[in-house]
Amino acid sequence: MEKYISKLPDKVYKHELLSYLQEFQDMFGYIDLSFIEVLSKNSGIPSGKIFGITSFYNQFRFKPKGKFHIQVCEGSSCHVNAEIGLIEDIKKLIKADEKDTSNDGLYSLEIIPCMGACSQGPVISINGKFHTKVSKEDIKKIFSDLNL
Amino acid sequence: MKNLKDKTYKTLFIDAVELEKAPQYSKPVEMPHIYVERNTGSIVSGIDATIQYIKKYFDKDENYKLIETGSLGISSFDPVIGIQIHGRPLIFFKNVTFSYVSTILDSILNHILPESDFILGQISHTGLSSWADVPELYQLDIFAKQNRRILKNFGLIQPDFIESYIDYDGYKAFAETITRKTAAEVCNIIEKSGLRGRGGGAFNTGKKWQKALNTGKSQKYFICNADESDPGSFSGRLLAENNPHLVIEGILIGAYAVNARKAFIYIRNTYTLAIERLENALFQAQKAGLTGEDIFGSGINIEIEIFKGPGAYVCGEETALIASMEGERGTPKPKPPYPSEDGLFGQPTVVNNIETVCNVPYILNYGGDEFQKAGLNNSFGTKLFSISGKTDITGVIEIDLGTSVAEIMDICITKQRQPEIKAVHIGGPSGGFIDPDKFSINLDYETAIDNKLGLGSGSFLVLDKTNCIIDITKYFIKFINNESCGKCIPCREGSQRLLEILNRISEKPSEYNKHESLLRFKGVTQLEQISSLMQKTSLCGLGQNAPNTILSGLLRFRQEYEEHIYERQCEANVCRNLKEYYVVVDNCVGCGICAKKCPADAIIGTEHQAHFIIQDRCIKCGVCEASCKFNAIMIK
Ligand SMILES: Cc1cc2nc3c(=O)[nH]c(=O)nc-3n(C[C@H](O)[C@H](O)[C@H](O)COP(=O)(O)O)c2cc1C
Repeated sequence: MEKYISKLPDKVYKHELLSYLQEFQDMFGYIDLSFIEVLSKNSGIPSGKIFGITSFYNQFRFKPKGKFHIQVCEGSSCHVNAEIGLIEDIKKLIKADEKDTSNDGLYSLEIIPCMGACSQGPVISINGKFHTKVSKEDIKKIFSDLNL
Repeated sequence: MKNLKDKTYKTLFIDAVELEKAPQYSKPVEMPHIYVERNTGSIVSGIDATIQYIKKYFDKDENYKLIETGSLGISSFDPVIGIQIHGRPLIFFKNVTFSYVSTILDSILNHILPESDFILGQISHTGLSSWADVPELYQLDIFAKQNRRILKNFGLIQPDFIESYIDYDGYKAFAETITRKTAAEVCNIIEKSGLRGRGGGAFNTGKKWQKALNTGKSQKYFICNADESDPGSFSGRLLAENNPHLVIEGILIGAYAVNARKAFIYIRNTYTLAIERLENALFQAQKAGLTGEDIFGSGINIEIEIFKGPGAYVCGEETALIASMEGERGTPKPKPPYPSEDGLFGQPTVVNNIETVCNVPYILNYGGDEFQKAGLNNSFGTKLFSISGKTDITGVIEIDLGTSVAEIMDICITKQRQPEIKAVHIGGPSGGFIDPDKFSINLDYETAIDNKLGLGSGSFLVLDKTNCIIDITKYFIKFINNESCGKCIPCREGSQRLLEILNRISEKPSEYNKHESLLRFKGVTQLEQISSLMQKTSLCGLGQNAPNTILSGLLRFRQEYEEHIYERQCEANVCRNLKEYYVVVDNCVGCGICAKKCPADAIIGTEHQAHFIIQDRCIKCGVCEASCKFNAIMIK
């Protein structure tokens, strides 16, 4: 990470901020606050302002991803086909909220507006592996089968 | 400028592409051709495993060709594969998960049809002997009832292969435009065609282009808005993923028409496959001389770049989109000035929805008159609708603007099941509900607005008796509340209040005092007041249109609101926190009937003693109350 940060050009323009942040998150899975400090230094924009811009967008998270990264689709099709309280159940099970990581570092949660598989809803994915038409029962089984 | 008169446009890039490589289903094949439809939806349904099994099936035998195509548009058929063998036409199969691969291949490769459950249809062609008793793909109701102009050849085109797009006459419109027409001519053709923006605003596209073309400034931008963050709308993704070259062709024509030398595709960062395919397509287009400098010797340079939207619904709004490209928070600005005068980095900028852009090549190929053969009133052409919810078929369909709701229902759900349908929610967060009595209304822009609906980006969410209007309303208002950028007060605070009221009327009162009851009862009138305030005073379409869901719900499903408020009853049994069942200890004789009947195992107790309901487990189905002979179960 330090190596990446040290390679950042001395002059960063405002319209490049989001691309740098995206690149950083693609590589490390989250935005480390130290990176915002560096961006601030190189662009001359106050770090508080950059933090404000970063937190405005859904894409960015400020905690490293867990061992299991869980994506849950919250599209309208998944919503009408899901059992009531499905997402709450998942949150309770993994003890993490949206954009959050559980304290033991095992799980992180990301809620996606639409995963593009509306005929298969509700859809969740764990580390890229999809589970379709999941019920509350399935959720229990899927999580108990995870190789912690 | 190169002269196209006696040559086909394809000679323009004959050196750069190898057209003969494009597979053509209309010609006989020697070895089997297997088409696999790979897109986000089918990946979730397991197409990658299917592909693996196909490869495994042929193993070391290299006498077959695997062709990766895009989607037919109907995701409930996923995973779809097509097979063409010697002397036979291409035949498609649906729902082919990996376990069925060998059965299907075993029979087809021996010229025998597999079980009919999998058969979708064939595309017959002269010179090829059709499969007996297999329907024609495009004569199936689901396709025959559409008017597939933009979606033409979807499912056959290979998104990663420019030759395939060109083979289906792709880039013809652009090549002829840039070599034969002036920018002003293109703007005129588009204006006369009556094409209106598909992103929700429905503004005449040609007029917008003319305005940008006629501003004096030399630096201009063209942005294709592929942000698409409305829940329930997935047509933009379908276009970008399955035919990226169509998107690029539309952008090139648009950029040429407004004199923009630089164009952007603003697309959501979560659309990974779409971004991958667009990047690849841009690379191929550049190699073929379609982008870059001095395109086809015209002296014109156009560059296209992808901008990955960092995800905020409001960034779909054009001024917010531009703000986010400038590295700001994506918050809207008051208009005017419009982006076509003062847009990205202060320069004239045209923002067009991805579906709008994809209509452009059609208009230039076939002309405005042909384009206007579809449509109603002042809404011309076709529109993509994303069908989801309680339907038989989920996916994107393309129909004439002005088609009635009932006709769309006929496409996506069988006549027998239609009576179960309670409502359709059209247009996502800016749209509204419609009830079966109104299914005859036509979905053109004006009629939709007259009926308190917005077509938005074309989401069509079908609801049946197991869905609750209040719950769906809450879902959309919660979405708006989360995504409100916070800049203007009516939207930020209004959506918060609306959500609180909706929560209050869909849960049991927290305290049983008069004030609390009064608040519940006042709910409806307050909903109406706040809604109309938000409509009138919000800065952008997000807040202005958000109340549509509430107002159309109150108009058409008022009874459901009243049931929730006065009787604390949710017909669909979705709002389960409306009431709490409890055992009246004095009346309970401990017969145990309720415990036996309870489907959730929520009632415990020993025989002949008063029982007890575990609230966490209770699903509020009411079975216990109905089965108790001693009036021992009550509601609070
Ligand atoms: C809250 C909000 C969200 C919007 N989201 C989108 C979107 O996702 N895609 C889109 O093309 N237009 C969206 N629009 C409309 C754009 O502001 C703009 O009108 C449109 O991109 C113009 O293109 P068109 O004329 O081709 O429709 C949105 C508008 C609002 C107010």
